[in-house]
Amino acid sequence: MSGEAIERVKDVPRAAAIIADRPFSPVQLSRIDEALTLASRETGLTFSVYVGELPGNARTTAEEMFNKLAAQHPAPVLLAVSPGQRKLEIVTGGESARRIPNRIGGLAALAMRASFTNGDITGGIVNGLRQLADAAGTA
Amino acid sequence: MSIWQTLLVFVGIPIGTLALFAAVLLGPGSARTPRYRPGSAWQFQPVWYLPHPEHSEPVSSMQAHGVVEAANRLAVHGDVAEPATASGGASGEW
Repeated sequence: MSGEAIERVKDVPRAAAIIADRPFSPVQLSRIDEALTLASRETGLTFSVYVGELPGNARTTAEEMFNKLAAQHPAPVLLAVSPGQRKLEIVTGGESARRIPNRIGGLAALAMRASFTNGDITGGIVNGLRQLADAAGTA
Repeated sequence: MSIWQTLLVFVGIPIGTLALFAAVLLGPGSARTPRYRPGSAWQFQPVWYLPHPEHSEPVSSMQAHGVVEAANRLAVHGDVAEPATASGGASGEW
């Protein structure tokens, strides 16, 4: 299954009560995987998706995670989703901030919210990635 | 028919049939990942996904052929000289 090939970053904050390891089914995982890889390939930016708790101030935590990502990957874009807190953060910086204006980020966040409200986490992530990639254009 | 045969036919078969239906109907649902509903807690380990690297070939084998790509890829996957800092984006709640 292609989903397994997605890199998992180890040093992420851990939720207090964990009952299951896998939030996504193999089918959902491969949809996310495909959207993530296509978006990154088309644009040349490094899209990254985080799903889990954002402890403390969600925005600050997401920005810290973005900075960690930026140290290893050029032009990253971080989509951080915390279904437990019902929060989502899209973080851009450097080249990705130039290519994805905040207005576009806001529109993508709106589209993602619509899916999340219906309980469709996978659909929201895939839609968000597509919108951001379309806006960023080809490298 | 002895008492045991009667019990087997009139109790054993109905219970067996019900158990079979229950297994068919409830079995797949319990194995599936539980569906997220807005407002419910998220009790999974955090996951952080990155895209697949563009080339599956290891850098060492590319370097052996003197491919320019290898050098680019080293630059891409090593430490970034001037890392971008978070400066934009959007937030949302649902």
